[in-house]
Amino acid sequence: MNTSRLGRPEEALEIVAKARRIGSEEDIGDQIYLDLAEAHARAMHGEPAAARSSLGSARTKAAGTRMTLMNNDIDVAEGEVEMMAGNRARAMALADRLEAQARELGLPRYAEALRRTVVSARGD
Amino acid sequence: MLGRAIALLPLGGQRRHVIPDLVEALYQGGRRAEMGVLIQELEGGDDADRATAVMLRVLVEPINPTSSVEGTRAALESAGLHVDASDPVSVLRYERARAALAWLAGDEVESHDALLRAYQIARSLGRRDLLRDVILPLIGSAWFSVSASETLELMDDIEGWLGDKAGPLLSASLQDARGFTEYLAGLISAEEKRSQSHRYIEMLQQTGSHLEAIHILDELSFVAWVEGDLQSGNRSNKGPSRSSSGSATATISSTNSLRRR
Repeated sequence: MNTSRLGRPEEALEIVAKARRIGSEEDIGDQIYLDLAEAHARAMHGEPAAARSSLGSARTKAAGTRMTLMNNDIDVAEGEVEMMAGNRARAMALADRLEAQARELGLPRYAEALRRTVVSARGD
Repeated sequence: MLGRAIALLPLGGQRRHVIPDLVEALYQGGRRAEMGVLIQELEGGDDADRATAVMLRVLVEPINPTSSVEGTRAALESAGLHVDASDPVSVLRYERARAALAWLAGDEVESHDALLRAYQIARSLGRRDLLRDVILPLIGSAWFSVSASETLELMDDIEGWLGDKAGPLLSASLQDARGFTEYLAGLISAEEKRSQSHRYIEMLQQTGSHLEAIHILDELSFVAWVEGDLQSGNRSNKGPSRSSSGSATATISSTNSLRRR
C-alpha cells in the first residue's frame, strides 16, 4: 500500500502478486490487506472499476467482523480510490466519518492521519 | 516438576487433574511434541476433562487444520457447559480460549471482553502467573475499539497490580504499549515514541525475540504513516536483517489472522 501511495503502483502490484504466492488464502486478514493494496494500485493506474472490484472483495471477506483498525483501513482505501476516481463527495464523507470516530476515541493523531490519507490521494 | 508429579500418579482422575497445568507449562516452554498425548489422556476422562481438552487444544493451536474457526467455536461453546463455575482457574482458561477464537474470527469486542474477564478473575485470585499470555492481547484488543483514556486506565490498573513483579520484558512491553497509546492520543511526540520503540527492539533482539521485534517495526511503520512520512514507513517495513519470504509473511500477518470458512 505504501509503495502505491508513494506513486509506484506497478511495483506495488508486483509485491501484491508475490505476497499472494507466499501468503495463505485462508488468512483472511492478509488477503484483505492485499486486496486493499491492489485496489489502491489499480486506482493509481486509472482503473477505477478494477479498484472497486478489489475493494468489494475486501469488504466481502471482512463482512461481519468487528476489527476497528482493519475496517477503518478498508474505508480509507475506499476513500482514496473514490478520491482518485473524482468522486470527491463520497471520499469526503468517508474521511469525515473516519476522523469523527477516531476523535471520539481520543486519538487525534490517528484521526488526522485518516483524513489526510483520503484527502491527499492522487492518481498517476 | 509437574512432569515428575504426573509420572508418580496412576492413570485416573487425580492424574488428569494435573494435566492442564502441565500442558500449559510445556506449551510455554516450547515442548509441543509432548502435549498431544497428554491432551488425549484428558479426552479419555469425564465430560469436564473432555471440555478442558477442547480448551487446551484451542489455546495451544487455535487454528486447527481439521476444523474451521466457527466449528471450533461451537465445540468450545459446548465445552463451556461443562466448566466448573466454582473453579476460577478453569473459568479463566475458558475465557482465554474464547478470546483466542474470537480474535481469529475477527471479533475484537468479544475477544477483549473475554480477556478482561480473565484478567479480573486472575486479579481477584492474586494469581499473576495465570496471566502470562493475557496482558498484551488484553491491551492490544483495546486499541482502536475503546477510548484512549479507557486503555490508559486499564494499563494503570495492570501496572499497579503487577508492581515490580512484571519482570524486565513484560515491563518493556507494557511501556511500549503505553507509549503507542499516548502517541496516538497526542500525549507524547513521535520522536519520543520512536526512541522508546528502538530501545525495545534492541532489547528484543538481544533476547532472541526477533518476531516481536518485527512487530515493533510494524508499529514504527504505523507511526511513520501517522506522521505522513510514507518513505520512512517503507523503510521500517523492510526492517533489519531478515530472511525474505518468512519475514514478509510475518509482517503482514501481524495485522490480523482471520480464518473463517
